[in-house]
Amino acid sequence: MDGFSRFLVGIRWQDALDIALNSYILFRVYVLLRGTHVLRMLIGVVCLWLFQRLAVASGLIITSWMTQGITAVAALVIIVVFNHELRAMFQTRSLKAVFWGIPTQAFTSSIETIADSVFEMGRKHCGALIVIPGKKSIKGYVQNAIPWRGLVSREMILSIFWHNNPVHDGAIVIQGDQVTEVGGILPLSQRTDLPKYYGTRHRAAMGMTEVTDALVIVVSEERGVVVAAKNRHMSVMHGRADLDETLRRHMGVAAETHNGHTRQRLKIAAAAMVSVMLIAGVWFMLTRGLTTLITLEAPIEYVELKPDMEIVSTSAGTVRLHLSGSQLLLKSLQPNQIQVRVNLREATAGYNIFPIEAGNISLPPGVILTKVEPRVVEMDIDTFLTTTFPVQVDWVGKLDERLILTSASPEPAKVSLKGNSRFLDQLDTIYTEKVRLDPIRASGTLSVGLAIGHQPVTAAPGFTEIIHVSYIVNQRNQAAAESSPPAARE
Amino acid sequence: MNFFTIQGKIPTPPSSFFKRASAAIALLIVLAMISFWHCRSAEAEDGLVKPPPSGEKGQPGPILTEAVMCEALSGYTPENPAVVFSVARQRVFCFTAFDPVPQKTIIYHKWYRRDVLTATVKLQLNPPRWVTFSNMQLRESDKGPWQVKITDADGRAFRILRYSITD
Repeated sequence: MDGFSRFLVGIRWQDALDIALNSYILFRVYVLLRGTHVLRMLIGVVCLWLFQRLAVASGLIITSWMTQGITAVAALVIIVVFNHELRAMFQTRSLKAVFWGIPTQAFTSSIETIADSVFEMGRKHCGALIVIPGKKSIKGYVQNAIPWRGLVSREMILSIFWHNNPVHDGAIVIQGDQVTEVGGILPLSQRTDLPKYYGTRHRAAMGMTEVTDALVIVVSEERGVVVAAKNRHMSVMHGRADLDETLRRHMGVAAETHNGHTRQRLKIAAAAMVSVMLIAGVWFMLTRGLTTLITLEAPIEYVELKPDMEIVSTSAGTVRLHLSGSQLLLKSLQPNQIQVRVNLREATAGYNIFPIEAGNISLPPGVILTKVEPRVVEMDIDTFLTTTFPVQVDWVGKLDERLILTSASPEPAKVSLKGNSRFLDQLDTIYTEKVRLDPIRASGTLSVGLAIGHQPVTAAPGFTEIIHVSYIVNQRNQAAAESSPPAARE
Repeated sequence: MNFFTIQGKIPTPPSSFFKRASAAIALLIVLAMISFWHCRSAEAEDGLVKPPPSGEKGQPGPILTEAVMCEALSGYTPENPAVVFSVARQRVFCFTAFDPVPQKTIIYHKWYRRDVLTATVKLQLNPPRWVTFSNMQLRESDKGPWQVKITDADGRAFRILRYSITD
């Protein structure tokens, strides 16, 4: 009992929303696909998946491998094989109908109109042939049909089958609340056991039911009898109620009786309940089932470091995260789903300590952080400075004995360098790269780079790292050079 | 460790007339220099003569009139001033001349190799003017860029001389 109450308290509002949203999506899929083969196939795929999980849990290697492959292929097969049905589902319904409501009204009004029109034609001995497709596509079975796309109405149906109408001998196709095609030629049945009084219309109706699951309504021109054909079977419709019921059964619409309504509502409610239970089960399996503990190493991201600062060193580049959650969730964790961020907005130059807490760590929903190691990260931060230094030429080699280098003027005499303060603080002078004395024979100029090499400094804007040196060379005064220094005197 | 010698000399003629004339000229020079330094103080550059460090109790300090690195001295005159010295020469001199020197003053020649202080030479200046120098014996390991910073007792620099010791 205590565990159950703890479980209830542990449910977040996001979890409730998650379950509700996905339950509704599942429910809508059922509503839109009910009565079709697609739904049956989907149920089959779900069963395959469950079977595969069971096989994995039982350690059946080949079975689990096979079912996994079949499940993956089956999902693709549904889309390919049932593309007509899926397309028709979205084409014949508005966006609102896809997301809201139970689609019965359009069919209901069409059923009444069709039933009224058929029996009126029967009374007037006006022959008619009406095809109402079932779950399978009838594409390819209705030949030479003329596209119509008109809303179903009593007047229109009567006028199509009127004796003087050029298309009155053909069949019409009704889908939903639309007459989609007229003047179509149906495949004729080759059966020999049909009654003698059945004419070409009846034979065509039978032929159509032999190759499709469509419902075909025939009105006999001679006798005025209404016959409904489906699944190679013909039934005489004795009254409007008979046809009404047949049409409703074919279209998957419950009869408009109190019992029918109640049954329909119960069915929908049961579907909704099953949807909620299924999604809640999946949610529970993903988030609460088989709680596991794992330890992961995650890199630390440092963000919002001020532009004039630089990280010199840190005590840790990664942290060890102790995580708990369902085995499924933890197994499916990807590195990019875990982020450990330390905000350096408050960092100052020098030694800094930043705590690593739950607020610094971003985890996918359902994964719980139990421990972090280390709990703090120590960091040495330095600032960038721009400092000006005098330039000194770094002469090397051997100057000709007869010469003396009396002056060397670098241009510019000073350069500003930008770099981290600790390095710049150690400098008093910036030297040029080494300049060899050996080739120098007379005064002149030369260009040389600054010896900053791989140091963490660059020339500040407006300064160049190339120095031009003007130097003056004179002949040596040998006598003076050989003289000794004066003696010490006060 | 380099070996340094500290040496100084006051070349002062005995004539009292010459003494007075020298003092007057020195005073004029001091006044002119003070006004000049006031104008230039904001843009005093490294290596150039800076405002003279004041003496005790706010009195004007000595003025550096010449500072060179040279190979030798001849009668207190620098010989072969240069910016590059061969280690084969065995010795290098830092020569400085101050005029006037209002009172006894302590200055320093601070020798740096690649910005690292290697020796400090304490020198005394005596009125009315004074030349003084220090020198360094050269060794193979001394090759590289050098500086001599000429400062007063408070560490304020008169001038920085830059040179190199080479093969």
